[in-house]
Amino acid sequence: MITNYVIEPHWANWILTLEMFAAGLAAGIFFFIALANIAGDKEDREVAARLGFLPAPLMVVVAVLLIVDLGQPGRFLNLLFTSPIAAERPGPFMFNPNSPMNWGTWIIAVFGIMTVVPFFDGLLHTGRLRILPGLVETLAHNPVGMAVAALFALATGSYSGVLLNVSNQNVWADTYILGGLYVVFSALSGFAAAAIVSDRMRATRTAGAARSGLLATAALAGVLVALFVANLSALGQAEPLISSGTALVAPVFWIGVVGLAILYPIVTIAAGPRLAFSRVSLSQLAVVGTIVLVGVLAFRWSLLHSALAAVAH
Amino acid sequence: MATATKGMFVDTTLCTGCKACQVACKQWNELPMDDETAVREHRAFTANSYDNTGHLSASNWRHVKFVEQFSEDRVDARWLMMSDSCKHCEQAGCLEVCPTGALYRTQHGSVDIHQDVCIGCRYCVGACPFGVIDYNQRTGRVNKCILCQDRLEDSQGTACAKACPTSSLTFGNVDDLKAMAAERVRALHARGQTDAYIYGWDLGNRGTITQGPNKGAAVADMEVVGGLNVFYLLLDKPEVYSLPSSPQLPQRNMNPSAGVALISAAVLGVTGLAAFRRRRMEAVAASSEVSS
Repeated sequence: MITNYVIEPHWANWILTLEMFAAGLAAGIFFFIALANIAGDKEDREVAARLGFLPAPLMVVVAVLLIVDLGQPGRFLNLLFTSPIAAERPGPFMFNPNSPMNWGTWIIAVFGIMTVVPFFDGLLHTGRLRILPGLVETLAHNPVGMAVAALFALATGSYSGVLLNVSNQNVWADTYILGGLYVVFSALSGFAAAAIVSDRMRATRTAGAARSGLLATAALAGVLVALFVANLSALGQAEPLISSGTALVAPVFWIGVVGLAILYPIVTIAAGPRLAFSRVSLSQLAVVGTIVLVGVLAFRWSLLHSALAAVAH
Repeated sequence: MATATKGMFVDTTLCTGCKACQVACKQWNELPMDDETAVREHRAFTANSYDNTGHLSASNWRHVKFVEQFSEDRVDARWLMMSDSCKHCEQAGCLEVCPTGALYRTQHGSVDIHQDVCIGCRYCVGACPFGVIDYNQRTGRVNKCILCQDRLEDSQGTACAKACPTSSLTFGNVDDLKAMAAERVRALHARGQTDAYIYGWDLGNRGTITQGPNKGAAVADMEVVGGLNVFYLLLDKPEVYSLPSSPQLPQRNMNPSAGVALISAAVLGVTGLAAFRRRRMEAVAASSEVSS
């Protein structure tokens, strides 16, 4: 059991929260785009093309937040290339297989490049791209390519959870579930964004897929959150999430994560017929998507701050 | 060229809490005070015995801990003191997770930091099981004891050990220090102080705590995280000295966590495809109803 720790407020500040939220949202949206291109129809691909405008700018936001967090833009390069000063490391590229942060750096770098494809696909579908349309079409709608891209998207969604697991901080290191939780919440945010965009485009058929995806992912998130809390309770480490008022961690966890991100979509969607594919139901689905996004933000925030709340105990 | 692994043996039975080691460390490494304003305004008092720094930090690479133990009637008391620092673990969590290669193992076996390579990501801060390494707000990088690497390269010992007036801190080759520690524990046990044991290496000593709230509890030498190159002779349970009883490498969670993430991703893939498939089946069913 961990009995000693060093954690400071800046470890869990808003920059990190927003960084993880934006990267998770980009990953989740890309996951939906990949599904739409692999298993969807023409309407799905139209919605996917519109959603394609989002991941690349979100990854730019992630890069900007990372630069703000690290203080100097050049520092990010030390994560990718071996510094001549660190002569103990072999090769020109920096890769430490024991460090989830290093895995994440490479995964995010590759995923960041991949987000350019749906962005160009979006430009193509809206008539704003006139060069290399064939290449963009091929890259954006190739099922194998999209399946590979979906893997990178899911890896981007999960890596920050694995990163927190691989530490010695209370709560984060007391469970194995964070990697799973993070990827599921990324997908949840992707389905939520798809629900909102489907509503904007009045794409009733795609909204049906987003609705089913939201319901299934919220249920999966519920199972994992239950396992997570049970796991922490068995170790006597659940207090920061269950009852701590420190930094509002427990209220945000229960109201934001359990209430808004999990129970609200399950209850609302499972309530059923009123959310059939009519115009009104679409708007309701967009509201569900918006509220789920708020819940996912609460998830990022409360999980980061849970270690801080544990210190306060 | 690799040399014999250097380290320190910290014999807490000899520590008088004089803090000469803290001062020497500050002086040699030119470390500033934590919060100058707090000191000027007399707010730096920790109210914890004679402890004036509270914990290890980016500017306190050495910290003398004061543990006061009283009997229930407060007639008997004892004072445990321990000079703490980076343990330069054989399997160092900070070094394992460093994503830039800033943390590295020196030819002396210590763990040092390339300041120019550190990006201040603070991952090592969360990975250290002892809470040693700390983020420096002034430089945006991390700091900890580097076992006076500059002095070692000049064949000198560490500044703290040099300053220690009671030989509570001894610098040397780790193998020699282990032999010294084993001899010291044997001598203490022979004198009736059977609570002495080694934290950091298992040298085979077993004993029983003779004083304090844990009186009667069994203690034994502990090898932790592959061995500590700065190791301790203790007289009570590790937790009493704010040391973890079972420190672990953060990597213990890597494969299980990645496994759960993979399974979750696979479930997501299946449910995601099913969401589109189900919608398509509903559409097919609806169109067949219309045609029939």
